Amino acid sequence: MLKKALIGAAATTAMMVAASTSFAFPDRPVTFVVPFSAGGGTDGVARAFQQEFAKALGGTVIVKNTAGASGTVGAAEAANAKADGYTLGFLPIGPATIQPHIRKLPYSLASWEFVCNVTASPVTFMVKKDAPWNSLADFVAEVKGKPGKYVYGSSGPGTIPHLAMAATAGALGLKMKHMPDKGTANAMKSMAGGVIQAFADTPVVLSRYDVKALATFTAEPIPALSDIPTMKSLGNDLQFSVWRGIFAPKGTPADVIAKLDTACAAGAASDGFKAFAKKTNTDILYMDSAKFEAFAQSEYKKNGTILEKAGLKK
Amino acid sequence: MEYVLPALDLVASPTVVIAMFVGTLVGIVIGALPGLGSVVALTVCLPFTFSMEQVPAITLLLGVYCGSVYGGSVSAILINTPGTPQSAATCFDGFPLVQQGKADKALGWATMSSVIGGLFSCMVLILAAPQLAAIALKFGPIETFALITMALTCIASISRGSMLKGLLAGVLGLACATVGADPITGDLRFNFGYFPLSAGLDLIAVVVGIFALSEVFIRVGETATEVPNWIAKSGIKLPSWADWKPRLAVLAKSSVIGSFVGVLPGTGAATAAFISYAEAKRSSPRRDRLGTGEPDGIIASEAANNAVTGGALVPTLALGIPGDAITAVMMTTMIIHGITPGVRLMAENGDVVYACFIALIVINIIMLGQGIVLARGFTRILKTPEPLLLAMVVILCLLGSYGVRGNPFDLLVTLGFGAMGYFLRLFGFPVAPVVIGLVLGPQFEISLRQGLILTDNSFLEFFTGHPIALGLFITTAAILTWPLIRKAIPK
Repeated sequence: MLKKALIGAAATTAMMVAASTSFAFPDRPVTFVVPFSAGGGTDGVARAFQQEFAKALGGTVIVKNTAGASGTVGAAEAANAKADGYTLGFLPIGPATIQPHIRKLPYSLASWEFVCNVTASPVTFMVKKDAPWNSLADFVAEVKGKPGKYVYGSSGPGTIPHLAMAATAGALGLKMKHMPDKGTANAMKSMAGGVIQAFADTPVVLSRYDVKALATFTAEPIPALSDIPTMKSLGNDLQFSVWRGIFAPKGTPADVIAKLDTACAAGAASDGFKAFAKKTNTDILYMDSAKFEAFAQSEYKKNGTILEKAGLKK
Repeated sequence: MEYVLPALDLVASPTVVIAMFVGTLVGIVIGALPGLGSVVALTVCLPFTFSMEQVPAITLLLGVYCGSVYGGSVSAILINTPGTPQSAATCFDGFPLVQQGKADKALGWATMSSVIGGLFSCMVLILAAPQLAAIALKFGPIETFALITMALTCIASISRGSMLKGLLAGVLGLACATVGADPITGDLRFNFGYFPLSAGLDLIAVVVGIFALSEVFIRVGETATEVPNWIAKSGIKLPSWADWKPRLAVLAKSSVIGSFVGVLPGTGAATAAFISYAEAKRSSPRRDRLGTGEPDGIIASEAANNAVTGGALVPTLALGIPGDAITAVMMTTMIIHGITPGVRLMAENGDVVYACFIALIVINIIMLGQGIVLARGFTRILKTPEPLLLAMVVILCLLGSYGVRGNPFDLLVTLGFGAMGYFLRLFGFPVAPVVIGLVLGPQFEISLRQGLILTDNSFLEFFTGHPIALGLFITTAAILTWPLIRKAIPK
C-alpha cells in the first residue's frame, strides 16, 4: 500500500515537473487493460495493436488481462485507475455501452475520457447454410406461420448478437424464443446441431462455420458481401457493429489524451496492424477522440433503448 | 494420405522439433507446480508464438498443452496438491502410494498412463475426427444435461466414509457455482452488492485454495516435530508388464472415456477424470482397494485426462468450436497465424492439420522421455524441508490464482477456500466433491435451462423426445443402484 502511494506520489511529482517544463509523456510503460482472458478476440487485437501503438507513442505498452463478469471487472479497473494516461482500457462495445444499462457497476459512461476507436465490424443476420430460406422474407414468412417454434441464439445475455436479434424480432414482429450460449463458438454448435435457427454476428463467422447471411445490419452494403441486402433496404433501419476502442479514466489531462490519440491514428494506419487485420478478418475503423466520444454516446443511447424494449434494462 | 508427406516435411524442421521439445518441457514444469496449470502455461507461452512461424507456433502450444496436463499429476501425487481440477482424482491413490514409500512407482504409473491415454486419443483424432464431430453435434443442451447428471454421480463413488458428508460437500460446490451472472438472463446472483463477486468464483482460485492451501494449513496444524515417516525413493519406476496385464481393461476404458468426453464441447479433462475414476470404482476387480494407493485409480484418472487432449481437438479443428479455455487459446493462435479451424480447415490447410497430428504423437513420446528424466528432480521435492516446501506451495498457489484472471479478489477467494478446506477436512468432509460440484455446476445449470427453453419448461420432454439423453439417464440410474443390485445378487 505504502509502496503504491509512494509510486503514486512520485508519478504526480513527475507529472507536475513534466507539465511545468517540456511535456514528457510517457516516461514509463503504459498499460492496456483488456477485460477478457489472454487468447480471446479482444486480447488478440489489443496485442497486435500494442506493438504499433507503442512505436508511435515512443514508449512501452503492456497488455494486462483482467477477466470476469462480461468484461466489467477489467473495465472497472481501468475506469478507477489514476487519471494520468498510464492505465487505459482496451474495451469492446459490451462493457462500455451495454453492461452499464443492465447491471449496477462501479463505473458508467461518464467515467471515461475517449481516446480513439480502433476496430469496428458490422453484424449480419445468419442462418444455417443448408436452411431452406434464401432471403429474409422467406425466413419471416416461415416464422410468422409457426409462432413460438423457432429459436434464435446468442453468445450470452446482453451481448451484441442478442441485442441485434432481439431488435430484429421486435421490428419484424417475430415470435421467437431466445436461447443464449456461452460464446459464439458454442452458439455455432447449437446452429449446426439444429437447436437454434437464427443468429447475428460479424462476417468472420461466415468464413469459419457453415452459415449464410440473409441481411446485414448496416446502412450501406458491406463491400465483401455486396450481394447481401442491408436491413435498411429491406425496410428496417437496424444497425449494429462490434467495435473496440481505447478509453482513459475521466480527468486524464487533455494533452495526454491528444498524444495518445495521435499514436492511435498512426497505429491504426500502420502496415503491421493492417497485416494482422487482414489475416484475422478484423475491420480497422479509426475514430479520433471527439468523433469516438460522440459515437460511444450514441451507441450507449441506442443500446439502452433496445435493452429496455427487450426487458433487460435494470 | 496425400497430406502425410508434406506434413512430415513440416514437422521434421529443426525449429519445429525444438518447439515441441521446449513446449513439452515448459508444460510439464509449469503443470507440475502446484497452483499453475494448462491455462497459465499456455498464456505464458502465447506472446512468444506471435512472432513465430505457423507450424512451430502451433506445435509449441500443443507441447505445452499435453505437457501441462501430464505435469499436473506430479504435484497431485507427491504433495497431495493438484494444481488444477483435472488431476484432482490422481491424488486419491497417488498420494497414498507416496505415503507407502512408493513415490517412484506412483510416478511410473502416472507417466505411462498419461502417455498411453494421450497416444490413444491421437489415434482417435486422426482416424475418426469427422465422424466424432458429427456425434458431438448430436449433443444438444438436453443430451449434455444428461451427461453432466451422470458425471455428478461420481460424487457418490468418491465419498468415502460418510456418504451424507460427501453429498453435502457436492451441494456446497454446486451452490458456489451459482455465484455471479445468471447464464440465461444475465442477472447477478449472490454477490451481496459486492462488485468483485459478480465475476463469480474462479475455478482455479477455488481449487488451489481448497486442495493445496488447506493441505498446507493441515500440515502446519500437525505437531511440528512430526516428520513424514515414508522413505522417499527418488526417480521413477515404470510398471512391469506383469503389473500392467490385469489392469489393461481399466487403461482401455479410461482412454475411451477420456477421448469421448473430450470430444464433447464444454466438458473437459476434470469431468473425464472424475467419470473415469467413478467407473473404475464401480467395475475394477480391485475396486475395494481404490483410494488406498491402488494403481487403478492413477490409471483411471491420468489416462482419461490426457486422452482429453486429442479428443478436445476434434471439435476445435473439425468444427471450429473449442471445448474449453485451453482449446480456445489454441484456436486463437491458429487464427492469428492465418489458419481457420472449422468446416473448411481440412480442404484449406490439410498439411498443417496432419503436421499437428504427427506432432501430437511425437509430443507424447517426448513426454515419456522427459517424464523419466524429470522424475528424479521431482521426487527430490519430498526431501525438501517441509517449512520451505509449504512456503513455496503458498506462494505458487497465490501466483496461480491471480494469474488466471488478473483479479486481486481471486487471492481472497483462494485464502477463503483454503480456510474452508481446512475446516471441511477437520470435520471429516471430503473436499473433492466441492470441486466436482463447482466444475460441473455451470454446465449443469446452463444445459438444464437451455433445455427448458427449448421444451417450453417441460422437464418430461427430456425423457421422451431425446433417445441419447434417455440412454444416459438410464445409465445414471443403473450406476446409482448398482451397489444395491450387486448386494442383492446371491453369490
